[in-house]
Amino acid sequence: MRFLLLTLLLFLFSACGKPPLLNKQDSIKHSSHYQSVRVNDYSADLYWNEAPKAYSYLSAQLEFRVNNILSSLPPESEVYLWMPSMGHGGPDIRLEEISQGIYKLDEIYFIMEGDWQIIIKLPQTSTTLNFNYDI
Amino acid sequence: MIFKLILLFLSILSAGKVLASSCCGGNASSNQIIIGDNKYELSVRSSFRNDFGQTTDKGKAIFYDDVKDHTYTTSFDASMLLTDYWQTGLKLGVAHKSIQKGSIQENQAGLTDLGLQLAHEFLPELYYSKWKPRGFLFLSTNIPFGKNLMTSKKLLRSDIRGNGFYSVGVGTLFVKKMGDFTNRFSMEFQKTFDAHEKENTLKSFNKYLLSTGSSYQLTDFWNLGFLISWNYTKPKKIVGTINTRSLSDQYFDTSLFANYLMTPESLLGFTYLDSSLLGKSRNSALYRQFTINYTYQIPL
Repeated sequence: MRFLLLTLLLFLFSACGKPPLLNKQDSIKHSSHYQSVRVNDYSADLYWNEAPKAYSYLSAQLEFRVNNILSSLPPESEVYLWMPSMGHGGPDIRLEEISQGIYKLDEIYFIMEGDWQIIIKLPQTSTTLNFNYDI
Repeated sequence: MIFKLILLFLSILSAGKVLASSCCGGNASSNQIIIGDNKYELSVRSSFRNDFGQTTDKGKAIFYDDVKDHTYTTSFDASMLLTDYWQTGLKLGVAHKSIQKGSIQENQAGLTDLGLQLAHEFLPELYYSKWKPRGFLFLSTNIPFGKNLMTSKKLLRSDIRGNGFYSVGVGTLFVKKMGDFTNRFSMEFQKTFDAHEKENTLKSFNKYLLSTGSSYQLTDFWNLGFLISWNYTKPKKIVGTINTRSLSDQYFDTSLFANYLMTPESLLGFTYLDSSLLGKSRNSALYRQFTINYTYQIPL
């Protein structure tokens, strides 16, 4: 019985910290409104909190991977809105890295209906990842 | 008789494992050691795993909403005593992954990893002791048949069916029966070899596993227990045309199991496994898994 108690105590000490069920990341969820883009060794997944639409502030979660490993965006990377048919962008997107390679995107606002892109530009690698939407 | 039954049940517990990719969580312990008075043990397992979230590097949980990520695995284990103190074993499985996120759906099926093991009982129970456990030392190797993080070609990474890397491991297992309880403790170290893809290399990385648990002999036929496993993987580093480095990851698996002795040679086991119940998890998948296993044993 002492052996059992010792091993259990060992795990109770080593397991200290809130278990995932009781430690939820606020305001982030993986929804079914999902898109994924891969270019060479780089990939990005975008989970919208709701279906993207015009005239409304939206939030999303971005996951950026290099060779399938979650990685921070390289320095000087840009994430922005673009409307290719009209040749203009949109309001700035607020970007917060909540974990390595996982970003919370806030204040995404499509100022009109039409075709839109969310562009991730990685200047050091001359790579661009585009998410395309018909809003 | 009861002692034998407990040892038989414990052998099932010791063989308990989950075939899962390291990227996606899953107890990767490789030990499948015969502890009962058997010459051979053959097991067939069928499991269903549901991934329902992931954890950040700060330990926060992100739960999936309306995302399907299911894995169905059927695996076969075989263990054999070579001499009184030496034994060997292998395991191999087939997995079917079904992932749906938004309008993207992927279904992939194929072999998982081939696991081979050699074990030595270095601390046998030759006389009764109140405290001294039985001890085993084991060497294991993993030969992948599926893709890994480096070689995956699928957008949702559904072609990663097992660990996916060549690796070797060394570990030790201690088992002690105390009344109606049988307790176990194991430690394992795994070294994964370099993986190459085009001009990039995922450098060798290490993994550490600790597990402990106990089972209780409820009746002559039923045995109930739990097993808690801590899994820690050191940071992964890619070098080549791109250079990146992940953070370390860790998670705790909690298993609850019940085993039923159908005949003196055959057992039916039920296991529920959850990675979200206990301990701090970082950079890991959150999942639940249910497994049914049938084991046939050939006594000495």
